[in-house]
Amino acid sequence: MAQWNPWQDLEGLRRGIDRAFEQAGLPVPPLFRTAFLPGRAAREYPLVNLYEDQESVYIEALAPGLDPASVNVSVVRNTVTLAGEKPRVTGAVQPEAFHREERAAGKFVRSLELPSEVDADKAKAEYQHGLLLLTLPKAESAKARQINVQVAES
Amino acid sequence: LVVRHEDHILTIQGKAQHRVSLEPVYREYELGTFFRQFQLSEEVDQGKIAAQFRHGVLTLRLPKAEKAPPRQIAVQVS
Repeated sequence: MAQWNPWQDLEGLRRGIDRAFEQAGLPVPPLFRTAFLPGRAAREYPLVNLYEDQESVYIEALAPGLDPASVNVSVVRNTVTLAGEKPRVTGAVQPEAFHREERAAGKFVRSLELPSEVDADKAKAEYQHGLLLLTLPKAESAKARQINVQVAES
Repeated sequence: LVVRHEDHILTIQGKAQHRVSLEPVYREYELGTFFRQFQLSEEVDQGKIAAQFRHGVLTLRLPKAEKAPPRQIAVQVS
């Protein structure tokens, strides 16, 4: 059964656009390549990459400077919610003393729909070097199963 | 990650890596090499620059050099 998967469609479209630029010999616009600095506008935060293998779904979120203890991850059926707060500065620098401020701060909530149902009890979240990695094992009912074909004798 | 200071130019460069080696099914960002330079004030005490890396955030502390204290110069009358 073919299931409509918007993520795969979008990623395919993105790759197609990249390819079109590369074939035309044009540099790929930076917008498509990197989003190192999350903007300050009301934009989804944190940015995530989603990976999938047969066993699990992985979400890698670009979120440097968080206090890992303040990050709240919850899983309900096939929806993951990331919530937390990014503190403004480390140290005792007063906002008045800023000459330049490129890094945003504040509270965030983001919900993501997963491509399959996951086992919330076995979900893991790790935070290292500013990347939050969620490992979400798929629910037994969502795993692909190999079915042997029996040859019926007539 | 390399932080270099030379002729009042501060350079930060390095490479960021993903934690999952699979090809993403959905992608919002890519990590790679980065490079950025800053022109620093002459006031900075080059020998006391300190760098700290925590939770993916690099913090550099660039102390201002202490000014030479005013000094009274005695005038010799010859």
